[in-house]
Amino acid sequence: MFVGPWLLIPLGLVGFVTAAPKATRLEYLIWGSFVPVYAVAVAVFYVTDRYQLPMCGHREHKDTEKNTLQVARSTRRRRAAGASVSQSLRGLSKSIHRRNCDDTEI
Amino acid sequence: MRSLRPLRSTWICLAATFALKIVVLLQLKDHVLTQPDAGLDTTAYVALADRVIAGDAGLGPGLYFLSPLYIYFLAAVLAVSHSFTAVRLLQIVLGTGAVALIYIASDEWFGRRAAWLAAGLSALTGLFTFYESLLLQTALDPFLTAAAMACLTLALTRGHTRSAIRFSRTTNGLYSA
Repeated sequence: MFVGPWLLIPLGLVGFVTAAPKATRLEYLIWGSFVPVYAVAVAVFYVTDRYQLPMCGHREHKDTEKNTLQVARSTRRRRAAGASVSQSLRGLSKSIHRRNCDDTEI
Repeated sequence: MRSLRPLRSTWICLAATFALKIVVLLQLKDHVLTQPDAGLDTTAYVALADRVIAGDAGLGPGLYFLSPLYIYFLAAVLAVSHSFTAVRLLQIVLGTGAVALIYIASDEWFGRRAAWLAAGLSALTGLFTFYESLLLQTALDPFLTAAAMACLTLALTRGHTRSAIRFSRTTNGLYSA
């Protein structure tokens, strides 16, 4: 069973772009947006918050060498946009978590 | 518009996929790290499922710290069969179903040849079969994702809008749990 993400992800991405049907472009985009939209939904609303952290918790790995290199390569604008999105998701996720905790205490 | 009725060759390939998954299951089921008492998440899932079987359906007080769907899935299967092998067997049946659903979705969007390739690649993905052999929530992910994608595909391409979107919403809800 040699197949893994190393083969599926590149093949899937290339196929998604090159084999897009022309007649049903809008429907295809809706279908294709499932995975990224779902990833964001998991980060914000997932019922057990231990799964939310890997999606928007880049701060946990801030001090690693790899992360420092990645940050150094990115432009200032991308960094600011990424941080603001991440902060918003974390804030929203925390407020939901706090609300859930409050409900439990009541 | 293609028929959704499966071909004979489709059934043969699904049977081959199931056989392949059975072989992996038999190889892994006695491994020390795949046992219910191996520790970490698997042990926690089994302990929570035992509580559900004992009558504590809400698992309160406190919040879920693991995915709730898998706790109830495990409890339901264990209540009927009392066997972890039966749980794993059901998981690989669902995994085989995921291959069929990937075939359906790919066939609708890209044609039959692409559907065969997609189904073949997913059947040969060791990661899927490996997780389907474990007692973890990830065992249900391939099936629920493929079901949601296939329902959404049918809703968008065939005009079975109401029923397909309803199924898609249900599978997404289950997946979120």
